[in-house]
Amino acid sequence: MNCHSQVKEQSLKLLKVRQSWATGEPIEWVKVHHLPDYANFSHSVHVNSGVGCETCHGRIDQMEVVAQQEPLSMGWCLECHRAPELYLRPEDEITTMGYVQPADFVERNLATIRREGIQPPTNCSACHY
Amino acid sequence: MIELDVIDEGDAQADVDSPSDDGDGSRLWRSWGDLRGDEHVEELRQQEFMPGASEPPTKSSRRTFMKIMGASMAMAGLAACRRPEEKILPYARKPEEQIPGVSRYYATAMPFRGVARGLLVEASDGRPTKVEGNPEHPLTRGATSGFAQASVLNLYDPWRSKTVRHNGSDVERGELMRRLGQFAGDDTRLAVLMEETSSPAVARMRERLRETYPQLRWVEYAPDGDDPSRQGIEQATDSAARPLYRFDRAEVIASLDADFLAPTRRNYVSNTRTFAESRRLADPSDEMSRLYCAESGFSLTGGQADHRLALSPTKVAAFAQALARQMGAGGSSVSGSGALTERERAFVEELAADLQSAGERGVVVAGETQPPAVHALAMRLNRQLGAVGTTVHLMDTGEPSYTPLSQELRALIDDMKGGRVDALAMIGANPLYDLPASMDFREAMSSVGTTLHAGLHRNETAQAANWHVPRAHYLERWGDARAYDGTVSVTQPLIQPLYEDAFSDLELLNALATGRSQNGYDLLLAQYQERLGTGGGENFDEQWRRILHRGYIPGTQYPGAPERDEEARADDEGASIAGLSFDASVGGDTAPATGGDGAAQQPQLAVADTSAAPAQPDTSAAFSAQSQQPSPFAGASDEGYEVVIQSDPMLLDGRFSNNAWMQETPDPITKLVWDNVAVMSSRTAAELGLGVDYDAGAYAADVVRLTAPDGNGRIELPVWIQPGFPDGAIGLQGGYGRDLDAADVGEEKGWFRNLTDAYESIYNGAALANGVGTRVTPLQDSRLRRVLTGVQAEKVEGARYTLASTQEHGSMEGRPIVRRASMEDYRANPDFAEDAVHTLPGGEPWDEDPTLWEEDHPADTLA
Repeated sequence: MNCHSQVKEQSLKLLKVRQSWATGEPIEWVKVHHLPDYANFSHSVHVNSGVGCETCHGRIDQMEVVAQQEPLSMGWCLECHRAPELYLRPEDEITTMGYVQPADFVERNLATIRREGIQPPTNCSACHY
Repeated sequence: MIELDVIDEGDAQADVDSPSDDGDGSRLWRSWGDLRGDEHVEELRQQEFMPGASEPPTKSSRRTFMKIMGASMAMAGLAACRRPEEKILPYARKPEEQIPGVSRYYATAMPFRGVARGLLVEASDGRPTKVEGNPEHPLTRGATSGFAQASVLNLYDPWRSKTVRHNGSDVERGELMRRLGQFAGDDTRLAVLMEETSSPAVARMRERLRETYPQLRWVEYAPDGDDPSRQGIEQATDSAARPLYRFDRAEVIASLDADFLAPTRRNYVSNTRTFAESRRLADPSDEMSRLYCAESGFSLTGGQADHRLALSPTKVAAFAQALARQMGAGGSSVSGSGALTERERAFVEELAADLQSAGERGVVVAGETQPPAVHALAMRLNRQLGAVGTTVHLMDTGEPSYTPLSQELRALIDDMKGGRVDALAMIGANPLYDLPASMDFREAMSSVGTTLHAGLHRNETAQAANWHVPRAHYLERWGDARAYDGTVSVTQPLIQPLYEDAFSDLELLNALATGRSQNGYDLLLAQYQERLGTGGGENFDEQWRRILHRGYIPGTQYPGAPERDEEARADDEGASIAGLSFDASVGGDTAPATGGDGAAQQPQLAVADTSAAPAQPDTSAAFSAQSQQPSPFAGASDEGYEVVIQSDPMLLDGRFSNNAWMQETPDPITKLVWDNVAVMSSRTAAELGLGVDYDAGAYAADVVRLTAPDGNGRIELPVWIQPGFPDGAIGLQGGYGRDLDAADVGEEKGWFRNLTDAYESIYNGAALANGVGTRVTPLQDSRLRRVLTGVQAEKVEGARYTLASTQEHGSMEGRPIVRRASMEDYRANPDFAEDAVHTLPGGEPWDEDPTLWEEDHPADTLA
């Protein structure tokens, strides 16, 4: 329950969550974004480096039924790992949906990369170990 | 020093015309085929994989594969095959500290042949998945054995017993409890056949049981019969002492058929570590220990020996006697057949001289195949050398005088047959498999009104008993046990019992005693509350949590155990618990309290023994007194062959026989999988007209029929010709030829059906262990000897048996099998091993370890 014990505690959409809490029966979530077991993925390191939610998950806010937008393939991962300056966004825009990059975003991102020492690894064992 | 070959060249059946030089004139070879230069060995070298290994599996073999992997898959789950719709079920209420995907570790202890192994077990999302040694445990210090590693698969074994059974059908647990409530009474003659255990909690429970059943008869059951070491040492020292060998302090080690490096040994972990320490060279000036081995088989220990002598088992006894005589320790007779040859006498002389010059740095170890007299002799030699207290510690286990198990069993069977036993409970014991049919245990069971069996499987005994109770796996139950050195270790469960009906040992004994069902945790807790109640300033909860956290209680070693080093003592500081006392053992009728504080722990035995050496009028008296008793080898027949029966290094007494990991693991010497064989030397095989041929990845072996000396027991099994095996001896391994009942394993799992279209119920066959190998106990008689003399052997005409061995797998592609040098050569050139093979000039190309981040990344060049 956490937040929703105080936020929108009467919402109909959260009925399932309250039911689950009351009965102890877990909610059956359908897993949409599925990475294979041999790939290690950490959300936190990506979010903290400036990868937006939208970049991987697409326009969740406009999805009637949530679907996988990006291939989540290794080649797709590496596209960004090799050139992160093309995809990163400022820290306060991580959760923004429909974010439009400003004209000088590559230079800004390169500066961030330098400042933060962001070096996304491309060696095999970074994800497969 | 005389030169002694590791493998007697005379054993080599084929003449090698011009052996290729291995640097020092000798030639190393891996198999008979390799030695003879057989074509198939050359063919194997040409191929990348073994024949059949890279071919696609056929339907039937896939089915078999699935069957074999049953437990492994049930354990691992089946993830990431395709993309079916997958549900995530998060916790509605998350348990404290439980993070999905993050493993947690718990200290526990595995009972192994009556001693505890300290473990640290990994639990993934609440399921135990990986067993490792507890790095803080005083004796094992983080090391473990294959048995402990594989034990986790036994937990998930689909063939495990799940329900309480009564006369062959499932009944409610309550039904059993009602029955147990009924037959408690002063005049009920209950006999308990309990798996050997060192658990103080079980010992207390036994006393509770005795209150309910004053006529209780308690037999501690070891599947491999008598303990000659305990008998022999008792004869030599007049006390129940358990030897703890410190090979790391030894310069010269003599093994009298003692395979102390075998994983089946109670103290395997400590033996292996201390032995490795004695062999490890930190720098070229270091000294190495020397190991002499006279053995009746070909063991891992013999493989490590500097000087090895292959002798038939009765000749090892004669060898031991000659050694004692050579060392001036009297010539009292250990009867063994045959005089020693000149070469063997030379071996004895060299060994005796080397041992004597090593003095207290020498040690003599007798093996489990040898009669008590040889164990007594070895201990006497150790005393004479002054080794007691240095290389061997005698620990006072406080156990009462030892009655050989075979004797106790014979008496029990007599009483059962005579109607003098009303009820028999067998806990963790499988006498119908372990004992030869000639002992009539089956018939004796039928004369007992109520027989109850508790075990992990519905095994041979379970099927014959009135009642069967599923026993909780050690990863599912609360309990305790003492390590080899006496350290009290707590068995803490990693998971609730997978089957609701399962009983832990404590729960079952309590149910027998009180007729009530009580939780195993409460039973154990109550005992420790009693023990810890008065000790220390802390409250009980804190102490108890600390014990569980550590997995053991420091300072609870047996008196006489080696002093712990400073670091370990500092580690124990403040952790030992004052005023704590433990019953000596399960067998102990009187319990000398072993205090937790150091002052109370005088190593009395060791001290007394050292002062007695080397002049030993008392010991020689004790020794000659025992030597008047008939030795088990007395009257050994010179006819026929000598057979040695040992626990299998993978299956132990058979409790790992339904474990695919263990069946798949090759035997350390023969490299055979999924079978047991009659191991013999090439000369013995030639004498019997037996042979083994190689054919397309497998070995076709002749079948031999062995007939017991009394002519009753008879078994047939394939032969295996092992270089280095003594002539006239035949080696057998126990634990095979099982008969497990698996009637209710037909439950089909959804994910199996998803996996293959041609789905058939994989469990509809017999259990994994059934039909694998041959049970060897029919050869034994009621004396339960491991060494049988006068066994008749003959070839079974026309029978061939296919065996799988990995001995020739993994070609070295022309590189040396092993790189070796003498001490002198090593000191002259410590890098000899690197020099023996070609290395790339200028180091390996990845030495520079280039960064994978592009050199000219824009981020680096940006101003």
